Amino acid sequence: MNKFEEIIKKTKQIRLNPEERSEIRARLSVIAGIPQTSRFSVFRFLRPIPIMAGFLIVAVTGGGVSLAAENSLPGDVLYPIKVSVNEEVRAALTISKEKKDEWSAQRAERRLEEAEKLDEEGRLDAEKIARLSEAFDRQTAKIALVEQRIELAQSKKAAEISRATEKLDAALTAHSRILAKLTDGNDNAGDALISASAAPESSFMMAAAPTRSFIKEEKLDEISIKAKRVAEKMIDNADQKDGIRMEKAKQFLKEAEDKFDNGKYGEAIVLFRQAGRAAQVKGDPIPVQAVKRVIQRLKD
Amino acid sequence: MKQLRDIFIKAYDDHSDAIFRHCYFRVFNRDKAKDLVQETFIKTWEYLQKGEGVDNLRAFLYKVATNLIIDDSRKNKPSSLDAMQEEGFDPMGDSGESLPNVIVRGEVRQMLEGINPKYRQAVQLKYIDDLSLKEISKITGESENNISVRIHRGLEELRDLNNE
Repeated sequence: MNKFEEIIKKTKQIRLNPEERSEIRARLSVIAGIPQTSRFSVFRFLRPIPIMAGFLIVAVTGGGVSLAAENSLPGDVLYPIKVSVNEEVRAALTISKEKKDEWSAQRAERRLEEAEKLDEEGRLDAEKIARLSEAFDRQTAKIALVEQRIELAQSKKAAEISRATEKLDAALTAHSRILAKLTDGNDNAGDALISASAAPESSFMMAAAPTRSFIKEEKLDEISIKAKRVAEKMIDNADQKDGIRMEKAKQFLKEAEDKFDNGKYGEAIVLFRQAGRAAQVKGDPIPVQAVKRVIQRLKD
Repeated sequence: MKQLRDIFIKAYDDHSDAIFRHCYFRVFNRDKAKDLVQETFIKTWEYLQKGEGVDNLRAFLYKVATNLIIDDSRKNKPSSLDAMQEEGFDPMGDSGESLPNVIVRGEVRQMLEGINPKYRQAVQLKYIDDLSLKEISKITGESENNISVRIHRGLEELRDLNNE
């Protein structure tokens, strides 16, 4: 038997072991609404409250309520089911860290989408904003944030930008409008947001302004100018040889400047930040400490 | 609905190992492969729910799995064997997989990387996934002839490598 045949023969020994098979089977059964007949308990993997609720919902309604909850918004009756049952069950179902992160990014985006829909319906009030931003922070805190990405890129290892952070980036850009609205320091909503936000370094806040204190003390147009300078500095310091990335960064910069000229300061801030991040990814990144120092200097 | 569920879970019982192996020897990571298997079946279930008929469930599963793997590799930069060795990766690291498995995984990966990507998939589908020419044709949409040629060329490359 030659080497090739030997290796091929050995591949046959790779298979799911009985435990792994039942694990996945059990999860699929829950999703397909199949009653559990085996002694293997899927409940082991879910936290107490969501499983009981989930179990009851599936048992009583055949999954219809879970489905109906999917389109609900904060304030709707079914919303708690969407977040605490459906989303938690899905979170519990994922195995690898990667996929868990991706789901977290998706959940964070859902909070932004909900905010947008509420805004369209005129139902967005200070309390809802606070809750949504809290939830957003909770989800993004689970993912490798900008700091960790930068650290990764700095080390000699291949810079693996996780799909989750890419997803989050895309979400922040796509929803820059509502993010800006949510962080607009000029009305009550902004105050509620500030007090609700856990850490100043949270993604949510970082997307809109370099540090929390800016929003309280200064006007958005001034913050916007500072964000622009930071972005320009990041672009200058980045690896100019990477044409594609520079293009992307400069595109964001232009969009941000457009928004600024049109008086849309909140959105401009978000886009300036995106420009800076786009320039940083992969290559010569600027350490977070340096960024903070730059911001500190701009403040003075 | 009941009939659909039965068909679905039977498909799982029949094909989960095969789909697992299919994913495993492309992502070379046990946890990730398990996730992909799950995602494959979940997506398939959602498709079945829509009321769309599927004539060949097995081929469909492979197609879904293949697409998920492509999506996955597009977004994540796959680390080559060399890069991993530089980092000093911990072979027993993920899900405490047994050493023999880890070794096989490494050997297969090395072997596959020695084949031209154009021929790799065909060789893999035939020898690792154990699919017939007809089945491979159904899954990839290529003619049996083309597949046959690629398999032949891929094997030739391996033979040359081994003879060096």
